[in-house]
Amino acid sequence: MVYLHESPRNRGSALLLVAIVGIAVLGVLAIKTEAQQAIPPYGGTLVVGIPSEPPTLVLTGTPTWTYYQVVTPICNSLVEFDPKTLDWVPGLAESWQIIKTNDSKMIVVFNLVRNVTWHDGTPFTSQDVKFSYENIGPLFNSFIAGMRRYLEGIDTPDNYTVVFRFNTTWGLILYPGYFGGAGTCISPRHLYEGTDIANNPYNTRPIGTGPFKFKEWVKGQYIVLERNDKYWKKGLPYLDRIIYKIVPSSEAMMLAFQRGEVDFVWNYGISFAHAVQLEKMVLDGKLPGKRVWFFPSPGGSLDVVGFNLHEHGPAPLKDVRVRKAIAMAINRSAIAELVYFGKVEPLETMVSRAPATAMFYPDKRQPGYNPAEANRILDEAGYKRGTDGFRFRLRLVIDSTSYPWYVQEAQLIRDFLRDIGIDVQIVTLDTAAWHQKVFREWDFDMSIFPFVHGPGPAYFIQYYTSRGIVRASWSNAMGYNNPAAEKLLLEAEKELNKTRQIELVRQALNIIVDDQPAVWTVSRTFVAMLNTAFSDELQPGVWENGFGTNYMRPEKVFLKTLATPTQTPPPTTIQPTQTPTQTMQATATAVQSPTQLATVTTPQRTERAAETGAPLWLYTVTAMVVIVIIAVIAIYMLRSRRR
Amino acid sequence: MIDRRAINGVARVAVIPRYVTRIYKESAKLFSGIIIVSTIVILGVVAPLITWYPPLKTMVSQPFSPPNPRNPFGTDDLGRDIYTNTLYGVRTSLLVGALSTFIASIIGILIGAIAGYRGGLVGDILMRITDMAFIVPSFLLALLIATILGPSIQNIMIAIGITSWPGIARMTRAEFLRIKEQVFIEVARAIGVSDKRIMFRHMLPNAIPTVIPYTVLQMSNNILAEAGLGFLGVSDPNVPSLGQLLNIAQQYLTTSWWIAAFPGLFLSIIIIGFNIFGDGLIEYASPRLRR
Repeated sequence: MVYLHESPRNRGSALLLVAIVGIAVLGVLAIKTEAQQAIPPYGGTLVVGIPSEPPTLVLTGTPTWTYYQVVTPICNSLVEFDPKTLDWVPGLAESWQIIKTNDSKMIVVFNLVRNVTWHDGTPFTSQDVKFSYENIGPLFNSFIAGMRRYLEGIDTPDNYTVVFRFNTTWGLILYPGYFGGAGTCISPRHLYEGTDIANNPYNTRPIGTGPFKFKEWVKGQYIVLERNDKYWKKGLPYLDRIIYKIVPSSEAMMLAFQRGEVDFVWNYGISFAHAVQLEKMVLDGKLPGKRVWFFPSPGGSLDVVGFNLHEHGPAPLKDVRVRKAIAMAINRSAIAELVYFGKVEPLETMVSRAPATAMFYPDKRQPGYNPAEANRILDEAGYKRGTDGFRFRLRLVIDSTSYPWYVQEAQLIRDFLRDIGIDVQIVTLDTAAWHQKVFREWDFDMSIFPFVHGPGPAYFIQYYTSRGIVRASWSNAMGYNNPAAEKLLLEAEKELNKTRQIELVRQALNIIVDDQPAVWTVSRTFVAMLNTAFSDELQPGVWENGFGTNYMRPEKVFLKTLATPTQTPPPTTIQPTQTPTQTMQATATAVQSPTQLATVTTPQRTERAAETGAPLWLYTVTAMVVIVIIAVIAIYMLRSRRR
Repeated sequence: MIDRRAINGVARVAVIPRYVTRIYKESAKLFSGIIIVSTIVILGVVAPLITWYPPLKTMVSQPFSPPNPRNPFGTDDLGRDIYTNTLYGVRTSLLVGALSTFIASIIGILIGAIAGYRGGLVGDILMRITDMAFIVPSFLLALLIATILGPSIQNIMIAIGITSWPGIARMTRAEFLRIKEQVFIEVARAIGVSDKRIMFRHMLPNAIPTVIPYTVLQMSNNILAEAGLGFLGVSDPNVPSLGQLLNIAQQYLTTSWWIAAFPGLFLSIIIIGFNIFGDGLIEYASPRLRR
């Protein structure tokens, strides 16, 4: 901003001067800004809020979302995925061929980018790829471990060519999780060969090929990544630094975001209710410079109320009419409204219209909400109401630790089913107990599964075929199996032509929807929150963490406001924190402002006492209540003493 | 204030039971404690009569409705009536509090009695165990046990019960040590009365007046513990609970204050009431504590 001083002598002409100079300056600035934004400015620090730290940062690792958020800027995988079409785009491989051989086998050839170096200067070669896929990946990543079943061998004819030889035409490689996406980054062979891979020190201070280098990890507090000046994509990245701040509670995350201590939050670490509140604040204009947006789950995740269809499962659920009646009784729109604030899509069929699964949208639908009809069907099927008004009883088992809002969904479902005469008992378990009971012991009647249905046929195979009936986490705990659907899905797995593959899957889904082995209630929506000082490259990628791809393109993110520095507000007085939930260490207000130019060495966000957060009226009311209570007790004590 | 002489006059004329006037005269704390506790208990008992929705039923009205004639305390995020669930939650709190305290009392009195009567090595060992159990933060242990066993209402009762006995044990032991010195116990032993009979027929009834008030105070602690567990999410979703309501209310404090205010108010009243009641019992039973 430009300040002009008014000349005390001649107000009139001074005003004219002001006007002319002001217009001129604005004009210059406008031109200057435009010119500057043609080339994004370099510099800036992005603070990402995460709720917990990943156990390890090995690059070819277990694809969990905490891990993926931190590791993405550090490394590259062979290919990446186009957010709209899910087609392969070049990563460390600049070109590739997928060849189907005469004897129904498959060869995938990758031609690697040249002149790529690791963060420690060593050149990147095909040997790194071979080592990662043969030795490191299988230890940590179940997708890559599973790939070995179909992999005959990996050859490296020269330093920049890798050949994967498969014993069959495995169509799943077209989707994230194998050659691109979370957990598929290439690790440096020269640092891992000959060492104990599981305990290699580079698992916690990784060396990769990505736009940012690992700098520091203070356990329980933050992880710092620094710009890689020698990144093989010339001119990138723009940011100086990315800091991952660990904020353990949703309230703290909300406050941190409001105060600008955290710039970016991607779905995890903030509860839905808080995100909705923040969205309202942004829409009301109370949070300038921030953006909150909801988008369909990139992996097509959804809530699946699965039935136990094993031999020992409850008898009524074996009758498809009962299952249809239950589907008719559950008001999925009400669940979407009440549990998810209307931000999710009530499901008409077994997949949502999210980009990850829209291609598989089958023709068949679940029955609509019709409790009267459901009652009639159950009566006809012979399940009459007993003297207590109930036909039979079911236990609904949920994981209330990782998914606390499932308690509400379960309570709604219980009410819906009570309306048609089914008594539902809700059993809440913590995550480990839920996995044990549901996936390993198969000890449940119904359960709410936070399944993912995409991308690709892999998850349909995992959850709806006999191959998935194993006593392991994230398997076909329902015990559902339809031979016709299974045949189609396994054929799709082998199909390399994407169009044909999609059609096969759709046919299979039609069969499954008719069988109704579960009630697919709502799709899930993710939320992202962003400080709009940063560029739109921070937009969520289409695909979910866990097996997805570029959830943000960290190399392309830049700090917009570096073009036009703004004035920093004066630092406010800092008082000691009152609420124990504010585990966030507040930052100096000067650091919060966007004017962190590349030349100024930005200090580490130092720990200081948080500014008081609780509003004044809360203190007054609490004080008054406490005083009243003390007065009452004092009066009684005094009265007894007076005797 | 009512003139004391008038009360005396009335008592002779009308039929106010003598113990009522005696309590009112001797300990204002006990009197007010009894009134508060009995009001709460009556509320809990008649809850089904004075509410018009089934507890835990969702969507009885628009979610997040502020207090209105149909929903005197408003509704929560799933459209459940808070008035109904608060009163039923009071019931749950009282039930869980009473039963868990009962469990704790049985364990505590047993251990305290044996430790106090026996003395010697057995007594020492028991007291060391009690001390160790005392040091362990009972709430966290109850949380752990309830999580492991699964958060059903029975398990929560058991969890709170088996972690809150040390205080009662100490109290009982102290009392038994004191009573043991009395002459009539020596005489009983000399006569040849069996240990067990002495402990439970002779000593325990004398210890009760001092131990019971402490038990009542422990009960108010246990009610708080149950609410605390519910607040942290460890509650039976099939049973209305004040702690569970407060847990839900957390997210909506600034937008829907009524979800937290009324359950919180009732919880406070219950706990304060039991505290006053317990203190009143102590005051009433021990003349030397009064002036």
